Amino acid sequence: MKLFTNLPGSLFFLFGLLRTLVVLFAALWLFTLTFAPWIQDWFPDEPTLMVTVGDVLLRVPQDVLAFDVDGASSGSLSVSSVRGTLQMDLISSNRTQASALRWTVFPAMLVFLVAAWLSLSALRGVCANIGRGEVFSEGNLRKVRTVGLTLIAYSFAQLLVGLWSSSVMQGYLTEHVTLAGFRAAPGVVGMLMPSGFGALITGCLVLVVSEAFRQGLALKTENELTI
Amino acid sequence: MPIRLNLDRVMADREISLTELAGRIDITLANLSILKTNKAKAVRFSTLEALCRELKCQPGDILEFVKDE
Repeated sequence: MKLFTNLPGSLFFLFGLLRTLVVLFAALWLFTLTFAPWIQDWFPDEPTLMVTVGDVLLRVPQDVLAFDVDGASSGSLSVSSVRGTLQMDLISSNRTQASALRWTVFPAMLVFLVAAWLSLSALRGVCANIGRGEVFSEGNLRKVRTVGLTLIAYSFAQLLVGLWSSSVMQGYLTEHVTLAGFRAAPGVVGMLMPSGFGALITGCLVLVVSEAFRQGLALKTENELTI
Repeated sequence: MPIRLNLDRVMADREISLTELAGRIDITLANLSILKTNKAKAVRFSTLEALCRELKCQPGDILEFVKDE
């Protein structure tokens, strides 16, 4: 029950915990990617640690996936592409694969780490201020704005990192990977870019809330100076 | 702000201290100081009424419109 009666305090703790988890998670990935050969040496049965690196799109020739449609010709319904999730072994001993994964993961991880640290720290500060009874204050206004701007910047950074990662992974897939068990069209695999649209909308929403904070602060100041 | 409070002048004329006036009109010393130093954004009618009653003056004696330059 105390969790809900002291919501700012609970959220302060939660954001702090999330911030620590993000750093630990990033450190784990960094450690695993950097020391993959040593990890493989420690465990003789060649362990795998599959991680999702993105979505892939396979173009399908017309005769590969066919539908039988009742009362219509077989060509009336077709699949032109198949979409799937691409997973890679984080502790692969293959140097080329590890390098491609490293160049894909590091920039995305760095951007995520910076954005998460900034926004979680700001949110933590807001909760601390609210806990002290300071709701509409200059500090809170600045922090809420920081969250909004961080999310907007993150959405653009995510787009750029997505472009970079897709091109790296696309290059790796084209040069070193042959698709087996499924006959796809030439050109084989295309990486799909992640969209940062969600973060962009959330960032804009938070900026709108910060404007409400600004108005609240102005009203509070006026109220305090009405004698 | 174009509206200025001449509370310090009226108080000096009546020879009344800030503490004494604050006690008489029942507002805090800090708030009366805000009024005296022209930092207030607004004045309640009730405060103005109490000031006029205790200082035996008209609102116009306390409030003054000064053109912005």
